[in-house]
Amino acid sequence: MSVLYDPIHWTPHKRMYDRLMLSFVAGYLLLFGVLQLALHPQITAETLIIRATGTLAFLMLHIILSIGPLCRLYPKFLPLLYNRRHLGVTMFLLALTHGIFNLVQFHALGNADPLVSLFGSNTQYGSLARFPFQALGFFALIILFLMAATSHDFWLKNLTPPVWKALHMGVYGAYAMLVLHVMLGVIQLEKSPVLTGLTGLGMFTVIGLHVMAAWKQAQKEAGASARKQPPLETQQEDTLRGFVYACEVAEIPDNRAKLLILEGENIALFKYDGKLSAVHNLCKHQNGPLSEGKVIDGCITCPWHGYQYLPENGQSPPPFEEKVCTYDVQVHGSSVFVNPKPYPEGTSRPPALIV
Amino acid sequence: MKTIEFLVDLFYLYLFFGVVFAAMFLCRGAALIDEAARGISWKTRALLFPGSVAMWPVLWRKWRKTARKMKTATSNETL
Ligand code: FES
Repeated sequence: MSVLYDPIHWTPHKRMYDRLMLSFVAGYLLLFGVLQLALHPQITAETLIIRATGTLAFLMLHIILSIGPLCRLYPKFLPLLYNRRHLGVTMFLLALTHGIFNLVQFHALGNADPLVSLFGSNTQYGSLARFPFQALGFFALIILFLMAATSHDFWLKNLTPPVWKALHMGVYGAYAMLVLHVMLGVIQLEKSPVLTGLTGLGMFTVIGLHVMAAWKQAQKEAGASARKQPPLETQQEDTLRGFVYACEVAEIPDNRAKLLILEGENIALFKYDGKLSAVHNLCKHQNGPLSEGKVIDGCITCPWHGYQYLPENGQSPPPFEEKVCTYDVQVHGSSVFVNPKPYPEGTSRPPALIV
Repeated sequence: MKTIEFLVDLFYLYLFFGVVFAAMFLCRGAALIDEAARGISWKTRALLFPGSVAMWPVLWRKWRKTARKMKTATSNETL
């Protein structure tokens, strides 16, 4: 949303988020280190770093993947979403440390190039159980790098939102590779039932949350589709040509919205200051659901990262330039009708007054 | 082993081009393809550096396209 790009657009919330995250990282590393030293007093510093950073990065990846569905299921988790990119970059830096220490410890001491050694020291690419797990870790790290390196808003704008989004969906590919990386590593080296059990539990949690969130979303969308229209007078029928019955005024809380799916259009219908306005439901930033946002200071505010739009014209307040489509709304008695034909992004439409 | 060596060399070559390109892109190209990147701080440039190394083919295409468009626009103006 920046007019001129900042390195990081700091807010008090982001500072607090980062402080908590870094305390968690420090706490985990400390606790893990103490436990490892107690259980394996002979452990070398390199091995300790490899284990601590690897397990922490993997745990943080689970947290990152769980935040999206958790927010869909329980909106009170939304504050965790606002600064997820810092969580992602920190997780990548931990994974990178894990990767570099592994490369140095296991592949940099011979004559061969470290990467050639990584890919060439085990060439059982056709075997399932003996598949080189370190190669999987390397490719997962490349995906995580691409995501961390392109997390700034410059990339979102210049790679275009669909390409950026597709690139960042690569996190699921990286996750699958990392699950295999850990599992094969356990089979081939560590033989640790604890690690196997925890990885299984993590997978179960991530998949379970995604299934539950998808189910909730499907239910919500079913409830958002066109409903039976109340009886109208002939004169009303004329003014309502092209309009579809949306809901009753009382169904929408003040400064909030109702999600509508009318003739395939994904619409957020907002009630504010005794008025009703409808805009396209998807935020221009990262497709966040505007219908789950609030009207704050007269602006529709996206629940994901706070991008704002004016309800009457779908435009971000100056100097910002994002725009979403708008729709016509009418109120008859206590019933609300919306015309699902979108106006071009940023078109002013008079709000419907609630009488 | 030969294939692995060849692929790793390709990877290094990609990175080498990426580093050279990213340095030029962040000095001149970024501001050309995106107005909001005009006069950005060195901190922001440093933050965009790794992505520019990785994404150099995409950015190079975009940069060339914008430069060509601007050239056509200026030659139309002078006519
Ligand atoms: S999706 Fe990021 S602000 Fe809306």
